[in-house]
Parts: sequence; C-alpha cells; structure tokens
Amino acid sequence: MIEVDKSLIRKFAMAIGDPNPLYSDEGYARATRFGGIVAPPTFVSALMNGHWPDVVVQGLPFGKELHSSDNLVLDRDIRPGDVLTCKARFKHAWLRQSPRGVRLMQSAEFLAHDQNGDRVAYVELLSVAF
Amino acid sequence: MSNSSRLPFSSCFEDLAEGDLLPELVHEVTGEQIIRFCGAADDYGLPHWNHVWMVEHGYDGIIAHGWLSCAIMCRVVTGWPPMRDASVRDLNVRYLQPNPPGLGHYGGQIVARTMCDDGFKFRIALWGAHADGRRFIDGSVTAHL
Repeated sequence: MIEVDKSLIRKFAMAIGDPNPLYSDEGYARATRFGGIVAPPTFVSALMNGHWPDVVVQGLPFGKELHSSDNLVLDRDIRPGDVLTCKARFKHAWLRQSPRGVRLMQSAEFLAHDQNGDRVAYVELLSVAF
Repeated sequence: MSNSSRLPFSSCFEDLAEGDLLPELVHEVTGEQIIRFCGAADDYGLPHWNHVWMVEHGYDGIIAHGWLSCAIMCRVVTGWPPMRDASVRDLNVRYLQPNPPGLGHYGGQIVARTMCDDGFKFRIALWGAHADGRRFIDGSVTAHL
C-alpha cells in the first residue's frame, strides 16, 4: 500500500526532468482543469517495487534480461492523498524466434487500485531474455 | 506517415492537426539522473548503478531504466506548453535498445485528432533516438485536452 503525497510526485518529476508545473506548483495546478497537483503519467513506475520485475522469472541461463515493452492504461490521474494498493501477476511465457536467435518472452500484469477500490492503473509488461 | 510541412509553432492545442510534428526534445541522460531515478522510482536494479556487473554481463556500463527513457519520451508531450494540461490515458512503449548515459533526441507526431464531448483527443506517436539516429525507444500516447 502506497500513500501518494506531493513530495513523492515532485521527486519523481524532478528525476525525470519534467518542468511541467502541474506536478509541483499547487497554485498553477489549482488554476488548471485538474484543480490541483497530479502525478506524471509514468509515475505508475514508482509503484512497482516488489512487483516488477520480481513477478517474472529472472536469473535464467541467458546472457541478458531486459525490459521489452509496456502498455499502460491510466483510468484517472494519480493525485496526492491517493492510497494505492498494487499487485502484479505473471501472465505467460513463450519463445520467439528472431534473426539473432531465440528470445524468451515473459508477460505480466500490474494493477493499482485506490482507497475506494477503484482501478487507477493497469500495465501489461513484457521482458525479454536472450 | 509523411512528415508534415507545418511547423510545430502553434501556441494552442486546437490548432494541432494530424501530421504535425511536436518540437524535438534533446536530453542528455546522465549517470546522476539514472541514480536519482533509482530513488524516485524505488528501483535499484543492478543494470542502473552497478557498472562492474554490467560490464561482466556484456554491456559497456549502466543503462537507464526503461521507465526513465519512457518518462523522458513522454516529456515531448507533457513538457510542451500547448499540451501541458493534457490527460494521458494510455501509453504504449517499446524498448528497442538499451539507453546508456548520453544524448537522446526525442520526438513526436500527431497521428490522429478527434473531437469528443469534453474536448479533443490526440493520438501521438513518440520516439527517442541516439545521436547516430538509431531509435532506442518508440511508442504512442493518447492525450485528452
């Protein structure tokens, strides 16, 4: 369970170098249609500790294991005060033949729900080992 | 899709049209930023701070998190004043190559623009390329304004 606050959002925005005042300036944000500070769309990545890439099998006898792709759906903007419950589950794995050899693909789902039990974010993640 | 001849100088999102290119973002990912993102995202994976481990595993050194590269790529939209108030509702991203510290050129192009009850919806193709032009990341977002 993660309690989102302004400092977490500001710290994330600073780390990604996004100067958008929507993420840090309460006065600016209040005057927008958001009515207050919201998190950058990729802030969902800050919720994944313990879920990704832990949910897929790692340490396999391949030379490299990398993050391959993400498909993110944000049901609403994440805001200070949100208390998010997150979980991930392994979906499936398959082998893919590529010109440079065999790739092991693993997919997983990550979900975040808010304090009302409403879904806030869904991510389908893919890793590749080769 | 062909490059549009329209310049991305519009100060108003209503003027954006399919084919418009968003202003390029040139950004240098540094080792410091990667470490800072480790803290902000609570992700201390070895590829992002352990140079020796990475070299032992066939890389030249540490690389940026996929999510960091994605976040920088999204700044093409969220960091551009006409789209600052956009709500991003879905995002698809592919990590094509590792992204080590260095310069990246990030761009975007309006793929589709539709009117909805509460404003406009834009589908925007995004990408990031190394200085030699090789793309290391691409994807798309849907932004509501």
